[in-house]
Amino acid sequence: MKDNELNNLEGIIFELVKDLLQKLDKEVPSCLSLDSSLYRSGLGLDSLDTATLSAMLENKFGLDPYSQGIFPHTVREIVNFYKDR
Amino acid sequence: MIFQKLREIAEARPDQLFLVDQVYSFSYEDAVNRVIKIAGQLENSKEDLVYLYLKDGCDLVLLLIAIDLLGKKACILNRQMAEVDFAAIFHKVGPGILISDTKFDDAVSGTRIISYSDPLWHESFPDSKKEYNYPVDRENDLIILTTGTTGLPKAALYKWETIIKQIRPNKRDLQEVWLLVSPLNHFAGIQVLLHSLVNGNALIIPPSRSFEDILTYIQKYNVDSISATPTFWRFFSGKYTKDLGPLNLKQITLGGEASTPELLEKLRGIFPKAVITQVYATTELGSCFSVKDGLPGFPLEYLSRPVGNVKLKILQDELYILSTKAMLGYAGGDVLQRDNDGWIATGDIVEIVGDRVLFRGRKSEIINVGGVKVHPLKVEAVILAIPGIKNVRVYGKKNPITGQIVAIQVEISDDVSSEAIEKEIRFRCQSSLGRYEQPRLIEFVSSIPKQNQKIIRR
Repeated sequence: MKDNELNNLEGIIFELVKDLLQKLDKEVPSCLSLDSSLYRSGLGLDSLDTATLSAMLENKFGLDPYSQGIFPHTVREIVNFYKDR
Repeated sequence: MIFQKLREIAEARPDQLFLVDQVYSFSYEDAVNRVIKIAGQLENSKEDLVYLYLKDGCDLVLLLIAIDLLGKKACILNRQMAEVDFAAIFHKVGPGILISDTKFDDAVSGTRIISYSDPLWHESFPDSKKEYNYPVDRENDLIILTTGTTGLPKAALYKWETIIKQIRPNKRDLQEVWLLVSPLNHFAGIQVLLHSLVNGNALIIPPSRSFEDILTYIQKYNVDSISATPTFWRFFSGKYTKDLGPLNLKQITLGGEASTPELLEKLRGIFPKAVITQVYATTELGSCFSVKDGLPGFPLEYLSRPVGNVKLKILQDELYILSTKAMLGYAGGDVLQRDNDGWIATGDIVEIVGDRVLFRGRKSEIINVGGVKVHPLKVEAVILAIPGIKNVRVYGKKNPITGQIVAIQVEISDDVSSEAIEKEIRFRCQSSLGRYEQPRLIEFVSSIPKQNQKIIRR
C-alpha cells in the first residue's frame, strides 16, 4: 500500500471513530491518536459500543475485524486489519 | 354456502351492485347468472379441489363462488409465489386442477392446468338456468395459504360457514361500498369479500394497490369502507392531501399488524367522520376481536371476559387465544400447537401498561442484543412519531459482539434532510428507549420491503 493510500485509510478510520463517539454522545478526546486504546483506558467503548463500531466498519468496508475473529485494541490495529486486505 | 348467500341477495335486491373491477361490473343478479355459467364449464372435471392462480378481480371471485356451487374445494395460490413452489403446495394440500390466467408448464407443476384465458370461458357458456344439487356436508371448502415468511406456506382448512359466522352485519341501514386492498389469497381479503357478500354490499377491486389507483377507485365508486394493514394506511395517509378531492370514508379498519398511536391519531385527523376499527385476526384463528376506541392495543378488561369470537389470556408475555371459530386444521401434516386446554399461542408479545394491553411485536421478531430482548414495535412507535418519517423497519442485524444489534431502515419525506432526521432519531431514542433498544445502524432507503402489505421485520 502506498503512503498516500495509507494516510487516506487512517483518515477514513479516524473519521469513523469520531462519528461513532459523536453518535454515542461521548466526547472526542483532543489527544485521539493511532495508539489510542478503544476500550476502558482509552475511548471507553463497552460491548454495545463495540458492537456499533463493528457494524459501522462492516457498513463502510463490507467486512469488519470482529466478525473475522480479530479483536483490535487500538485505532492502529483497525487500520492494520484493512491495510492487509 | 356462499352461492346461497349470493342468490338470497339477488332475489331480494337483483340490481344491487355486487362486484366491480377494471373490466367488469356485476349486480347480484348478473353475478348469479355468470356463476352458474362458469360452474357449467367446470362441472365435468373430476377433481374435487381447484387451485386458482388469477389476479384479484371479478373472475377470481366468481370462480370461487362457482367452485362452491359445485361442491368443490378452492385454494387461491399466492400471486407472488414462485412457480417452483407450486408442486410442493400441491403435494401438501392434495391433487387438483389449476385454473390460471398465466401460462405454466404442466410438467413443472405436476397438475392439470386449465387456462382461464381460453375463449371457451367467455363464449360458449351453457344455459344459466340450470339447477345444481347443492352439496351440504363437506369437511372443508376453502384452503387459505399462510404468507410463508419462513418457508413453504402452511395451508389452513376452513369451511365458508365458519368464516361467515365471524362476520358482523352492516352497522348502518345503508349499503356499504368496500374497496379490496388485502389480496384474496389472504385471510383478510376473503373476509372483506364475505363481509360484502353476506351483507349485500358492493366490493370494488382496484387494478393495483398503487396510490393513484386506490384514490381513483375510491372517488369513482364512492367507496366508504376500507380494511387494510397499518403499513398500507401509513402509506395512504402519508400521500393523501385534501386538494386531491374529498373522500367519503365512514369505516377504516386496520388489521394484520399492531397499529401505532401516531397512525391512529393521523387517521382521526384526516378522516374525522370515519369509525376506526382495529381487528385482531390470523389465518389460523380468523377474525378474533376488535377495538373501536381508536387507541393502540386493547382494554385490559378484555382478559376477564369473552370478546368477539374468542377468549384471551397472557402467558409469559405472549397472547393466547381460545376460539370456537378457528380453522379446522392444517393440510399436509402441519400442526398448530395448542396447550392442554386448547389455547393457541399467537406469537404476539404483549405488555400490560395501565388499563391497556399493548402489542410489542412478534415473538419471532424479538431482537436479542447481548441477552437483552428488544421489541421492534416499541422502537417503531418512537421513530414513527417523528415528523418527516414516512415508514420504518426495525430489525435485528447479526453482530459478532452482541449477537444482534438494532438496525433500522427509514423512508423519509422529500422535504426533510437525512442528517436532521438522523439527529432527531438519536435524540428521541436516547430519551425514551433503553441503551440496548436504541438503533445502532440507521439506513435511509427509498422503499421498505413488504409482503402482503406488511413490513418484513425479520
